[in-house]
Amino acid sequence: MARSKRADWLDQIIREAKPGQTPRADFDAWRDAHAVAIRQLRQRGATIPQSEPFLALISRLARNSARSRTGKLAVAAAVVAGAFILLTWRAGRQSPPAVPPTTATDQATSPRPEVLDPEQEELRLADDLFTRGDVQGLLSLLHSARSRTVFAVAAYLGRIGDASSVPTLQALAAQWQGSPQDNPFQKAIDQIRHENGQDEAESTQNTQAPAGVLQTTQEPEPSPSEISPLTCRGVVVDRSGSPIRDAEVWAQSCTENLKLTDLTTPVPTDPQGTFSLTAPTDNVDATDRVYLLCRHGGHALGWLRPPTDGQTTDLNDCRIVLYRPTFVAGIVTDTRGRGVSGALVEARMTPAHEPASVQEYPCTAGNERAAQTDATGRFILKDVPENSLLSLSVSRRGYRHYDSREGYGQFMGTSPYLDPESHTIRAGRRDIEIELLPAEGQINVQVVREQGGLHDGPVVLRCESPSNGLGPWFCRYDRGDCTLMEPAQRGICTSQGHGRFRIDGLPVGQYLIAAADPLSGDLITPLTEVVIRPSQLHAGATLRAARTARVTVRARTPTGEPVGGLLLTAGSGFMVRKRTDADGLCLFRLFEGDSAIQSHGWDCDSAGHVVRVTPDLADRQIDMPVGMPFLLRGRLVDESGSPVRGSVSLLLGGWVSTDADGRFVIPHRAPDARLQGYARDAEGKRALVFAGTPPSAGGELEVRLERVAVFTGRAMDQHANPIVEAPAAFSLDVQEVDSTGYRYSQLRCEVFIFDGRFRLDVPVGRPLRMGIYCPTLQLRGRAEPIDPAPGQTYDLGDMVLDPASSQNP
Amino acid sequence: MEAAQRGDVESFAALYRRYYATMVWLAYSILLNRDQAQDAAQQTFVKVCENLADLKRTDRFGPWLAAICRNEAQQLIRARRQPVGPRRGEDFYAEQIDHGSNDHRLVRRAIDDLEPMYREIVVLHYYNDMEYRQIAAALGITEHTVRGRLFRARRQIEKTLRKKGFPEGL
Repeated sequence: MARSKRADWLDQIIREAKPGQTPRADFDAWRDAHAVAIRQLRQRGATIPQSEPFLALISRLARNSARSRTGKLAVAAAVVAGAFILLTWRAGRQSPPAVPPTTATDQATSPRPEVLDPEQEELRLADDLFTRGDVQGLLSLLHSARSRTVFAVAAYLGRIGDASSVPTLQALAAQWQGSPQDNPFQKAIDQIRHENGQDEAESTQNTQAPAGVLQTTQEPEPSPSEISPLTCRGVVVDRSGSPIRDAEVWAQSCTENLKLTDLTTPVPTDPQGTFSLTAPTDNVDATDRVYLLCRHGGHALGWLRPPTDGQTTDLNDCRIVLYRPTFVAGIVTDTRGRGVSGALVEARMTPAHEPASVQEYPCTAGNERAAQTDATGRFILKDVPENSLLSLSVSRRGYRHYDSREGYGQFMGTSPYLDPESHTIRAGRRDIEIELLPAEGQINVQVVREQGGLHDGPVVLRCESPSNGLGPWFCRYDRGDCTLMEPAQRGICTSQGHGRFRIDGLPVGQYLIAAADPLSGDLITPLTEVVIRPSQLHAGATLRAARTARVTVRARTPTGEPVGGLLLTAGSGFMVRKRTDADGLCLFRLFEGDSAIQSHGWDCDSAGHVVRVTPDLADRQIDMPVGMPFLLRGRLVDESGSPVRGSVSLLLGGWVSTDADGRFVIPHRAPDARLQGYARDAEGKRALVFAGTPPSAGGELEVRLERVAVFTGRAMDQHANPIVEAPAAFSLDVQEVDSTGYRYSQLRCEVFIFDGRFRLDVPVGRPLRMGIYCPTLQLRGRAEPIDPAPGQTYDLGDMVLDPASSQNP
Repeated sequence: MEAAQRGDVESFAALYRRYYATMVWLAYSILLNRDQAQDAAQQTFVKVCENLADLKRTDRFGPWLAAICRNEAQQLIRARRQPVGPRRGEDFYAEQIDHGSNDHRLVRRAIDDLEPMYREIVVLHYYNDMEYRQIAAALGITEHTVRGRLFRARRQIEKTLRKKGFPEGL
């Protein structure tokens, strides 16, 4: 068959690009350099003829004997006998799990002494308190005990049925992160209410709440003046801008834990396409996201994230554009090209005109679609708006998780690092081919208690792979069920019970694993490193619990007010995320050594604290000063001062969109903190990295966008290899150049880079010189000055970071 | 093969001469550095000396060798991630700088951007002039898989080059 000229041309240029000649195999030189290896070859080889390895012998005998009928019977009998012997041996070796479970080694070497570990002591104490009916004692144990004891105490409180324990149980039920049906605190509350005959009265108050989830309405309700409903008015139009009548619009909230709640019932649009709805926000937390969803026959489901922050109560310009539905189709294959059936294909969509929000990873039913592949591996995702960009992920047991965005940079807050053409799929494509790689690696994990013996209580495994740019992801085990808690399913985790886990489908690389308490989120075992090698795809890890110290963080404003709901991270290696309670307190359990504690959100300049936990594990208390809450209001304008539709983000914050007047609102910033942010218009032609102090209370920040050019490139080390540290923070600084040289550093921003590549929008109109600095390697590099033109893309090529440049920045 | 397993150096030398270039290019596909690729290949044969006697299935020698080589290359990558100090002087760095034409650099970068799974097939086929059958035998995969991967790799390279504004061929 004749090949096309283009194919031949491609072959030719690839061959011409060959980097040097094929090396000559000089065995003599190699032998001289590795004489020891040759000696080893001779010595090991000399042993082979004398004794054929036992398994090889068995294998050869089996092959030979299997050729005859008698031989086959003999082999079958041998296999059955072998299996019987193996099972008998294992049964003798593994005694049935008892409390406390002991390993075979423990039983064989020494009888266990009558020393209970702290958890067992707590359980025994809880038993005593329950027998005495001491509710106060049980309540105090709820705050100090480990999770296994806490669950037992909750069950005891439910059985006692004392109504005074309900508020404490409610607070714990609200923190529950597992499935609502398994919430032990809610079960206890229900039992208490049942015994006190409060079932019906309470259930009428909670008609909106999902089953089993305790909503904040059950706590003392604030006065109506404190919580105002959110009113949204707007218009629903089609692609050409014509209004759509009789479309249904409703509001939905999405929590950080991806729980979706409809806030309103659908309201129809009038003949002008306008709508007005009022959503109650008493169940909406400041960290929740509110979406407007819109449904209309003949159009795909539409959605809009209005520029709200949980505090704005009136939105007048909500414009929802509905698009014609199309579909996306393709095939999922294995490496041999065969279709993979039963694979779950999930898509997240974003409007094509707002590519930056792909990074935001919004969660709502409005922009997600899912389908399963059929027997031939084909899939169809229906009801996809025609202008969407999709990112796809595919999961199937036995294969590596596929994510179309895997391996690309993460958004950090000041610069988008996204190439929609490469990372996403346009709606309407029907020729998508996704090849799933086989599940290469496997990690077998066992969690062991501090005193020895397998940890058989509920536990969460936390795992991430810096070398592969994966994670973190979480896997939760609770009484026989093992569920993934994070949407990013990087490996498939199963539990063999009693603290044993298996994680399949992992790529070769380095993994960090630790076990955490499912209730508090604190780590119960230190970080363990596991490496899956190409030569050894099955790896094992034993996570042994260690003692911790209680470190209490007190968050206070400059005037001494406690700050509730403040997001804190603490730890060394894996960071544990928690929020302060209403008294501004947050308890972490930290291992011996140095740990960092940092606040997030209000004070973006917070340097954090380093806490040193001493070997005696003494309790510590840390004061965390926090700025006052603040609502940053601003306006996005172009060079001429005209309002611009676009999006704005602050460092460590998410994106917010502007309205038609270019206005935006970003909550929770300290007025005395330095602002660092990034803004761009919807078309990506104008952008600005801004820094400075926020306006005074009541003031408005004007962000004047500038026309930009795009700079791309790749960071290389001094050996001309791409720097693939993940995640490595690079700073890129842009200097203005005048006739005397480099005058001053004008802009500075940071991007996360996984594969050494970066992409940055830079304002034009003056000569610039790009610098790049990698703090983890202490390397620095510079490019030649460029006078960029607006709208152009400049590829800086490989920017070499080397120590020589670093010494002379 | 069996002779090499029994410690016959000449037989081992034959294996070395037969597979050395393949291992260098295989390691190159991971390391993207020729000197380090040669180091990895040489170290691969050291490992082979140590473990050849344990190899049960001699018909899987090629894939076994390739797995060792990939492992060695990965270890070099990990070593590379350690805090970087002066390792082999400036000459080493200067040697790595690409003196080829701009077009060649673009093509090489397009190949570098491929997934390792595809890159190794491209490197073995184009740089080491191996046929599909030889690559399949060396890596322990089917000829059909080699063909499929190479097809996808070429399509990806073509796409990348187009995006870079590479002049159309002919």
